[in-house]
Amino acid sequence: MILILFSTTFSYSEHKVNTSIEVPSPEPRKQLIYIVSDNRIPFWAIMGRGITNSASMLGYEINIYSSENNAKRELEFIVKAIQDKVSGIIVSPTNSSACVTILKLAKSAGIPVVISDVGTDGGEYVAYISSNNREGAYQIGKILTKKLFELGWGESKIGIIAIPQTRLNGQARTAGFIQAINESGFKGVDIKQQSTFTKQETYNLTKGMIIEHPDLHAIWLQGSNRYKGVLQAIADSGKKDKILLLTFDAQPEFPELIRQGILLASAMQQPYLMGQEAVSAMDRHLNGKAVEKNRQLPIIIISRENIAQQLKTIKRTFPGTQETDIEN
Amino acid sequence: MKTDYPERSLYATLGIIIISTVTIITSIHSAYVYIETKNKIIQEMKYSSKHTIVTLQKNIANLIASYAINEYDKLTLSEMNHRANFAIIVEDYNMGKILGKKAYTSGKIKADNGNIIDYNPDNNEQNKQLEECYYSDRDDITSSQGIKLGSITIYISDHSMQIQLNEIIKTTIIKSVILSVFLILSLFITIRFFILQPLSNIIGIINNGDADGIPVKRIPNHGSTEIFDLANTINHMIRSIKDSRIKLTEQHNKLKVHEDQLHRSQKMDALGTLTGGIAHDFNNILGVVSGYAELLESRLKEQPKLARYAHEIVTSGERGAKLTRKLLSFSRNVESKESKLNLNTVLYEEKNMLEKTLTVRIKLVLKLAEDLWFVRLDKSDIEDAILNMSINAMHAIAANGQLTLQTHNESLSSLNAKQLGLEAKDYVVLSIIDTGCGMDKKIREKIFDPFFSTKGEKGTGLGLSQVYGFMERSKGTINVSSEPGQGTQLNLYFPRYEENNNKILSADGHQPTNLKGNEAILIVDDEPALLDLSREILSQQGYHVFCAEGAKQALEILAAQHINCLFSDVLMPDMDGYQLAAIVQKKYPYIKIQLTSGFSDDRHLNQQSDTLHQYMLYKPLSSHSLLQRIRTLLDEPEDIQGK
Repeated sequence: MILILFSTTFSYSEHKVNTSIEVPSPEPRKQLIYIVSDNRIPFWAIMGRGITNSASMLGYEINIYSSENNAKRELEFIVKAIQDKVSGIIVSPTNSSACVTILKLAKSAGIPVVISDVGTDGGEYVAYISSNNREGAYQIGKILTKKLFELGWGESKIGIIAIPQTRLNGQARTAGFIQAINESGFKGVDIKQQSTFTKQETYNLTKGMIIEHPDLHAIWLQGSNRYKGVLQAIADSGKKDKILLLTFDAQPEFPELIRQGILLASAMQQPYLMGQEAVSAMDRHLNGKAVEKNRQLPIIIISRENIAQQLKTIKRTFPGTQETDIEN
Repeated sequence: MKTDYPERSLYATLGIIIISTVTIITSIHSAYVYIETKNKIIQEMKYSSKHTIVTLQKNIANLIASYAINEYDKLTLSEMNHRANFAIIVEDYNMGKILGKKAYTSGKIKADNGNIIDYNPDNNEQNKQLEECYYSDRDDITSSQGIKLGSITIYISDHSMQIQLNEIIKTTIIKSVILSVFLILSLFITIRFFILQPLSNIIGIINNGDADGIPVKRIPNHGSTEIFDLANTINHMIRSIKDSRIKLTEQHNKLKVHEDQLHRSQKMDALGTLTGGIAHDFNNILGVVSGYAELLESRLKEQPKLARYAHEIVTSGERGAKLTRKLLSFSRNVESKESKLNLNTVLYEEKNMLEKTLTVRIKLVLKLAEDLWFVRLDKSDIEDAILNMSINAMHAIAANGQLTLQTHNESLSSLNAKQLGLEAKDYVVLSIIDTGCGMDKKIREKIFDPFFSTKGEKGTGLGLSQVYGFMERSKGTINVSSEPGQGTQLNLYFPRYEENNNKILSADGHQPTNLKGNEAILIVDDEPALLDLSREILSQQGYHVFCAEGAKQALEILAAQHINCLFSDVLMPDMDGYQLAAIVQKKYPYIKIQLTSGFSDDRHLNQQSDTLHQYMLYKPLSSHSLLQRIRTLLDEPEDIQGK
């Protein structure tokens, strides 16, 4: 199952992923475009699947363009979408600031936009589909502090490897996590911000934080795809059993890692569901129906204690995931 | 052309001046502030735009390079919020390439309501506003490698500057109005309380005047220095006016006195001339009548009855002569025999006679000053005057009363002398004061008129006329003070006798008993009857008499005949007696000269004629006095008359 999910994820890492499904129709199908910040990341790939699935169900032609965290490329895709006169744009922007430009260009072309995650600093859009990042991060923080107290590390430092805080989801995650930490009386928190999203960058940030704070006993990775860099840094520092790791979002191997205790917990968004909701909102808009402007979906917290109970939800979130795979 | 109306209120004038002044000053100040502010704003604009460009250039370059359009959009918004730019326009060549054009143009611009909105390159209205901007500054945006990434243009509108400048104008107007109102109110209050109110008080006091319009009260001396000075000046002026009025009244009274005196003098002169003329002619007639009557009487010694008739004519002639003498006395044309006198002595001498005249019902009181100065008077004249005035007083006192005769010395000042019509020198004053019924003004003005009497048949009306004539001849004056029921006081002013200037010449000398003679006498008279009478009188005594009816004829006779004595009338038509005498004395110094006249006129007196005047024979003449005087004159040594 994990392999299937992994291979599926990477199949969306091309600049353009043509997932159009030819459905015989006497009328030309309406075209939607999904511009995603980086389809190499499973979270976005799963969201793309949700979008593709839902678009097909609703009779739209869908094209997915991955910007690979490149603002120029993202803009080029927007321009292309405008030139192609698509019916609607679904975007998961590289950051909320860049999204403003996307919305402005789309507006000037008269094309409606639905934002799926990340958010925007301004502009006009049809709907914004997001997870309750703050609540998810808060729950993760609660699990961590509880564990730290159990292990007698009540005075330890906690490190955060953060996604860009220009993103609204990044800001919400940090705020929720810090709230939980503060409520538990922890004050020693260090935060480093990702920019290139490479494994090496994550490794370096983690290594530096471990060296800088000898009493560091926990790292929360606000993303998920470069968790291996964190684990590598911990291992190289000789603190494999001394530092707890938590993540946000999911990777196919996470259930197993949680079961093994390598990961303490992870907050799992529901990207597939988000993608479906984005297309649904666009469809309602294009058909002149009322659309909920800001739609927040709940986040699933997975830990060793509840992974069995959450398996069905995980399967629903990650279609194709087999129960045996997870269980394995 | 002047009007009788006030031109404008002081308030209005000051208000106009203040508003004009404030407006001019504030306008100049505002114009200066306006220009200075405008220049300052322009400088600030330029500085601001340059600063903005410099600030944005580097940051935007990085953001353009990273295609962070919204980020540099936020930067421009931030700059717009912090600086008074009208618009910041960014041209992004990188984004332009993506869009397939030269540049992607974006930016921020101020809307009419002041809000900052996105710039839309396709918005013509916005583009027009940019074109109309007062100032703009454009600069390229380049990467660190020197690659042109775009440009940034700052637009500055003068709209905000205009608003600011309009605000200055508005503020200036408001300030001007407030300042003007404040100053006007301040000045109004100041003027009202410190100038107009005191002036109003002064006007009130000035308007509260007496019958002549002169303020009754003084203006209080208080208030500001200027008002104080004004009050002082007006008070001084009022005081001067009051003093002037007093002086004017005094001078008016003096003028009135002078006028009365002049009027009386003119009237008396006219009456004197009239009565003198009548008396003169009457004297001539009386002279002829009396003269011939005397001649007739002397021839009728053998016929006593006829002689008595002739004597009656002579007696009546003498009475007539006495009457004409009174008339001549009033007109001053009477023979005067002045001598040095002490009035106190005269009064003592007259006292008994006066007491008898006044009877016991009237008490006579003498109040005589010691060391009374001497006077030069005809004694009989002063005795007559005292008697006349005493009799008048007696008639004025109905029952018992008192008559006071009082003397004193008085040195008259120029002012007092002028009021009395006299020269300023020493005088002896004789006052006759009675307790009689007094006189009103109407009577007072006529008492010296000849034949005016309040006593009816009892008076002739010549008593006070004689006194008046006497005072005129004496170079003095008479002053009357009387009111009905208050008695009367007559003050007679006589010049003090001056020893050096008054040489008493005595006419007394040898009185010849033989009146006959054989000398040649030339008689000159324009009155033929008198000429014949004189010739008859002198011829009867053996004189060779020549007669001439005028001076011209007399000179012809003198040239032809040897004449020992010239007997000439004074008043003649062609040449008077003095002129004729002067010629005779020059051409025929041996001839004795005797003048005769019905007037005592001293108009032609000089040193040479003084002797002639002194021995003047006044008409009417008795034959005896004529013969006696001629004989005396012919018997005198020749050089006496020439002195």
